Amino acid sequence: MSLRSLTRLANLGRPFTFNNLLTSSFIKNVNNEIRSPLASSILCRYISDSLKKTLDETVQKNDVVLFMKGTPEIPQCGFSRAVVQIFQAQGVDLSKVKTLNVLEDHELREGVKEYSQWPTVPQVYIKGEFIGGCDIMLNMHQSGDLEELLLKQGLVASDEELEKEE
Amino acid sequence: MIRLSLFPKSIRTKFVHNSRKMTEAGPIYQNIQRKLTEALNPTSLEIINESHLHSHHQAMKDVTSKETHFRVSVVSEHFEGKNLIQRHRLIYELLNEEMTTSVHALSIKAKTSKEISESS
Repeated sequence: MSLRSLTRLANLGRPFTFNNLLTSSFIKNVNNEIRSPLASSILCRYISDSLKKTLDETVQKNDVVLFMKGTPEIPQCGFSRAVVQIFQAQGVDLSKVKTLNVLEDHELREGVKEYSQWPTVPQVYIKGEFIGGCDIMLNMHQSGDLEELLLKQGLVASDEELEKEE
Repeated sequence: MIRLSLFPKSIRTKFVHNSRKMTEAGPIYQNIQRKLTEALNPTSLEIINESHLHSHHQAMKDVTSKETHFRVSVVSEHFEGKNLIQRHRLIYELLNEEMTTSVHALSIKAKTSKEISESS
């Protein structure tokens, strides 16, 4: 049976929309067996135009955006917690970090993966640019690249500036 | 103890052996190993199944799979000239099927052999 006829079967009696197609438990089962280029191109259409616009604005308007599970105070996932701790270690003012809890919003949780072309959460954006997830943040933290980037973008004060303040 | 002794020893050992084998190289583990080996021709590939560390998490409460959390360290020349995001995306893409069906978290270390020798 072709994927198309299967899809048709699954959507009998339902208005045809991409969301319907994706939320049906059927397509999830099918995913185990059929991962055709078509299936992934359908998945790419998951994110709605309005969500994409919201995310564009969020990422552009805020210096640092962190998509995470839970909140900085109560992270619900070890990887999200690690990213928050890296920001703290770097001296980034957490009140200036825009955090979005993907556990509160299912559309956001799935949409942000599509938006960033990145299958996992947490995700970090700095000055509108996608930086990566927990591994990359940790890697950049250890190599010194993160400090360099944060200094360049004026998100943390340099040692000289700190001395001046004192 | 009494209940265990109802079964002949041979069956018990077999069961223990099988369950241990599962955590070491289940089907997802083997898929990850095969796909990364084929595509990246790695000089070093380490895959660790850490699922047991996360099995008590709230998000895992309805999940029976023993293959949800993995840590992979790959050393491959295919990463040459690629930044971290590109390297991670390459691996995520290769493991797209596993990522969308079973794997909940994948921790990645992706280096070239040149970078390994420089850091040591």
